[in-house]
Amino acid sequence: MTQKHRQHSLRVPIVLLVLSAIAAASIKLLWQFNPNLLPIAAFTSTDELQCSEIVTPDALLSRERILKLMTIAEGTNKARVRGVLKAPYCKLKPMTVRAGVAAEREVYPLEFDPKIWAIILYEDDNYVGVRLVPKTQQCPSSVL
Amino acid sequence: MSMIQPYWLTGLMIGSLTACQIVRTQPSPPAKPMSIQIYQKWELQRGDRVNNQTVVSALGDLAIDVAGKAVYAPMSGEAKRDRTGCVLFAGTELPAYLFRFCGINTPKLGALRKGQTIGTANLLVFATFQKQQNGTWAFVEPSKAMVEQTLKRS
Repeated sequence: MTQKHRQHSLRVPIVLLVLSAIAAASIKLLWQFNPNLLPIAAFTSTDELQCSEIVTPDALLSRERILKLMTIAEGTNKARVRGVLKAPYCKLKPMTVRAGVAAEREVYPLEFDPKIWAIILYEDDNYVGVRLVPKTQQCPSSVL
Repeated sequence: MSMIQPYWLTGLMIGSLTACQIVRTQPSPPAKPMSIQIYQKWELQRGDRVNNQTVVSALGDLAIDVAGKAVYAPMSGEAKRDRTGCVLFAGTELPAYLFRFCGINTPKLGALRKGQTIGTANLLVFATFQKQQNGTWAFVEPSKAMVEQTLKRS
């Protein structure tokens, strides 16, 4: 009776230890798989990819218009680029990268994958460049 | 039979910890130094030798006495080393721009969040490049706000 009791009291902490280790390992795996699945991610994930102004809520960029954009040279007037792309979904926070020049960034979700955003940069009303970025930056995309 | 259960669970625990180790030790992409072609063809550029002495800051570079303090990522982006040991940084949400940080001790490379420390420096040599139509990178004049964001944690 006493031996059986001792055996039982020994088993409980071992099982607890094992379960907590499994829980810790699972959280770690989950974190590595996708940090945004855990609430703590609010402190670490970027909150930058946010519109400061919504322009056209249903704007999407089709393959055809992306192809047309690729033929447009840097330095082309914004009105001509907008003629191809139409109005954007939103604008990102304005910033000044070059001295005295306002950088204007307009966003278009892709029609065939709206989780990917095309960010178009204009300076002095001229087209400067484009970059495709996953809207939720769960996996940092390589930009270099 | 009842004694087997803890052993089984222990085995599972070891198994899951090993799985974590495997995930953690996945080979990261090889950090190949990057090189960019600069638009301006100035005679003296950073890294050139004059009278057997090295040019550490040339036209287009901004040299700042950081005095051992940290230099921060001005926005979320990616940092890579270039051939001369400087750090090239591209902002995720900023097309057509590249920043170069030279003089950083043991820089943190890869994906960086806005305000994250790239590293510390004594003399920071900073440059801003904008991509040109022919694919080269031109030195441009950075705004004071941009430089400020790299020097103070935002």
